[in-house]
Amino acid sequence: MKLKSFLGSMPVFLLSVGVGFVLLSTATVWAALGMSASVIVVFVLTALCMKLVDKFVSAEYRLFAAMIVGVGFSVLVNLLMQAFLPAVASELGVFAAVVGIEAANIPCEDKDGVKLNTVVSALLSGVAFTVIAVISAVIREILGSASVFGVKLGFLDSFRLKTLAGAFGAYVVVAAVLACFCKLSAPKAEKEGK
Amino acid sequence: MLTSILAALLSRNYTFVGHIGITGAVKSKNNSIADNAVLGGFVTVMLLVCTAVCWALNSFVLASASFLAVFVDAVIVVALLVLCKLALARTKLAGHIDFIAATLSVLILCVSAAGSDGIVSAIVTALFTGIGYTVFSIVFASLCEKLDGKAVPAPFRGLPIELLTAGMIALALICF
Repeated sequence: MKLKSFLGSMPVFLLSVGVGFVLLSTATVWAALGMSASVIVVFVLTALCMKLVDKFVSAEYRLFAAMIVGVGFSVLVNLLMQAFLPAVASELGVFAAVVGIEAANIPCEDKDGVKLNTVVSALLSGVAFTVIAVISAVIREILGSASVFGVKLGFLDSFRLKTLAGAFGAYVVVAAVLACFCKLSAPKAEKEGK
Repeated sequence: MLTSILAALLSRNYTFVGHIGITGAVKSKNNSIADNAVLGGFVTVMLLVCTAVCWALNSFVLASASFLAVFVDAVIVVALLVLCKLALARTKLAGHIDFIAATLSVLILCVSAAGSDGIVSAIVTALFTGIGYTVFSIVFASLCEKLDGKAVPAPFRGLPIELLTAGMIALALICF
């Protein structure tokens, strides 16, 4: 899969992971990194597990089985985070434990109709989530809270935009980051406005 | 009580201010108002039933094993969704069950898990979260319908402009 095609498919992958989780995890860079790690591990493990049990589950109920398997893995990852990264786990709260439900949405085909292995789709969805969440979190934390990785940037304190730290800021920053990726992936003729 | 009703409906609206279930609102933007209302009603009923069942389980059975609460709640939500799928197999709503399962169960699960201040508070929060979801997803769908594709810069077409629209609704709700 080409990089341009991957960038263009970002919205598709993002919808499969759940836009809400991206918006939720962009408040701080640590939260974005924690949620991203959780999403990649849970999505890949769920895809692998579903591949193993695919023969025994009817297509009609595959979605529900994937939801249970996904939540099982995300609860396990959340418990590990509570043990080793308690600050990140408490910041993400219950959301880190329920992200596995979205693993049921892993796309089987990409935008250009190229058939993808579900494990590869899961990995790509996780990578798309990580890229967008981390970039958005860095922007929101620096401009909205005048800090980065929790370290205060004193010289930015009087210039910070408090709106970016709130719910509205999450929408604006994620939308802007997505638009940048769409612009980068657009064909050359479209970029020049032909 | 009035404070928690207004919070669930407006200032702490789970979907637009809390970002939970926003994927559902984005995916259902092309539905008609009637379809969105039916879908919202169904989500509200699911929220009420799941909250009551999960609250009882979390309070009486899982009180000493709270680390299992999310997983057990998820199993309950999925089990109820499977029952609904079987019950509604031949109705118009049957096609929406997979959609609800895939996108809105997170909302159902979060609201169910949050109800720790007593059953009445949990049920009221669930009811008004459902109503809030229904009303504002209809508003969101109506706003998206009015967006003129050509007036929107090319990179912002699709999900980015929909997120900005949702952000405007969130901004309006936070004011309450």
